[in-house]
Amino acid sequence: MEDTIIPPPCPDPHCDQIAVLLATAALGGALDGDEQTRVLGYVTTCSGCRRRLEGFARVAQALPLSVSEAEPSPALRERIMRAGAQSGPRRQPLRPARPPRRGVFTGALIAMALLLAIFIGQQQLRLQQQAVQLGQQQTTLVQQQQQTARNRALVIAAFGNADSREARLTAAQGDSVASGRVLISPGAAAVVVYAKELPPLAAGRVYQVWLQGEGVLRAVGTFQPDQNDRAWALLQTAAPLPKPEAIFISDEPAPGSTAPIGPELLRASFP
Amino acid sequence: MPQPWEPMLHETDHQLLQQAAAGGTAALGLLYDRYGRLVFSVALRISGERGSAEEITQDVFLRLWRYADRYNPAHGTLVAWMLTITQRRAIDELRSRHYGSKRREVELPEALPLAGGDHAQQAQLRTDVQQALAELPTAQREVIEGVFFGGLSRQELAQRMGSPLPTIHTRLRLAMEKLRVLLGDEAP
Repeated sequence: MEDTIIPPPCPDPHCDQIAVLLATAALGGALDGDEQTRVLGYVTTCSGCRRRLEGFARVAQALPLSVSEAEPSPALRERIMRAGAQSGPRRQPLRPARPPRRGVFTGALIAMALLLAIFIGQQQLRLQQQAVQLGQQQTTLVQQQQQTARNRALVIAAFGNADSREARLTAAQGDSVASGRVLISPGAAAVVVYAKELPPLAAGRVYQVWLQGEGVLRAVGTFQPDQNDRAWALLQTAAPLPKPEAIFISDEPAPGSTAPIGPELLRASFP
Repeated sequence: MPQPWEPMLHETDHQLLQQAAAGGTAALGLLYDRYGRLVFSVALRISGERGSAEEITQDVFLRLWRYADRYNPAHGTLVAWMLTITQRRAIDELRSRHYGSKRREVELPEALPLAGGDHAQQAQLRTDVQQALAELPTAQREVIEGVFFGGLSRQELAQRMGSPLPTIHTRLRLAMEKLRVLLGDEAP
């Protein structure tokens, strides 16, 4: 009979489902596109999920040490040395050893970077494959790679800021099942949004993100859901954002409005 | 008569890596002497074939040298980084051999795994993880090993174990939560 372990309390009703996906990701297992969006969404906007991923990543890191030791052939060492000698010296210097950065989100940063290295790398691979199929030029591929690298750096920077805050998005209309989470880092001028089951958009409309704070209302950016009606969006503004009191999402005419005129769909408050 | 590499015996992994990256084959050899057996053992555990395991080991050390600038010592040990690459490379080899999927270029992790620690601490960790795995119920251990060492998807595991997918999910979650606690991670 299998034993049980009482999991730690989690405020989210989908916690156990996400835990399975986090465990799979940490072990290097396969996740489909929808599962990747869900994991990215929760890990980027839920500190509990980040801690869990970090813990699972530690397990995965220890697992290789469990294997029985075996001896390779003596010739292997010689082959490696010969191949190394033939490769010649590197041209780029190694980065110097530095002590680990201490901060509120250090562990979470590493957990996120681990996950992003997997997911954004796979996204990049898909973009590259699509670009090849469409016969796009090499410059387009390079631009996509650069954008991917910027996204990764931006999310990591957002977590690294002590001003980062996260909140749950709840439906503004009583009969809506839409929900989501948001992470904002005013200092990094970044907002990460994860939303699901939003009301479908009519043609020529977009979901737009707004921030209220310090007496101002700022448009942050727009996004579209994927084919599973989920959205994970990383939005960055040109200037630092005010300290948030609320973030909301509305249905606006494309490419976005200068002031919200469409219905409000989701809202998060920051006490 | 002292050998030229003897002073390097006491150098850190990062120092050896720097020397190897500058063309010092003696330093590369010392890194292999430190970790080659472990890398080979993990590769063999996953691939199941000595020839493949040696090929994977060679690949890992040469990647280590070529892409040494991806290693950030601020984030964790070199051995942890190498073992991550080894696992991914070996799983990829296994899947391409068994399932006919095209072998992908394994992306090198830019962010490192989490553990630090010297060799003594790693020896303790080895004991701890072996003990922790032994404490898992058989079915939970099989799920962990199937995903991590077997490269199996959850659906493939469900088929292989003759269990519904939700049961596999529960075993995976419980096993990882238990391992997390047994290996000293604090519950949130």
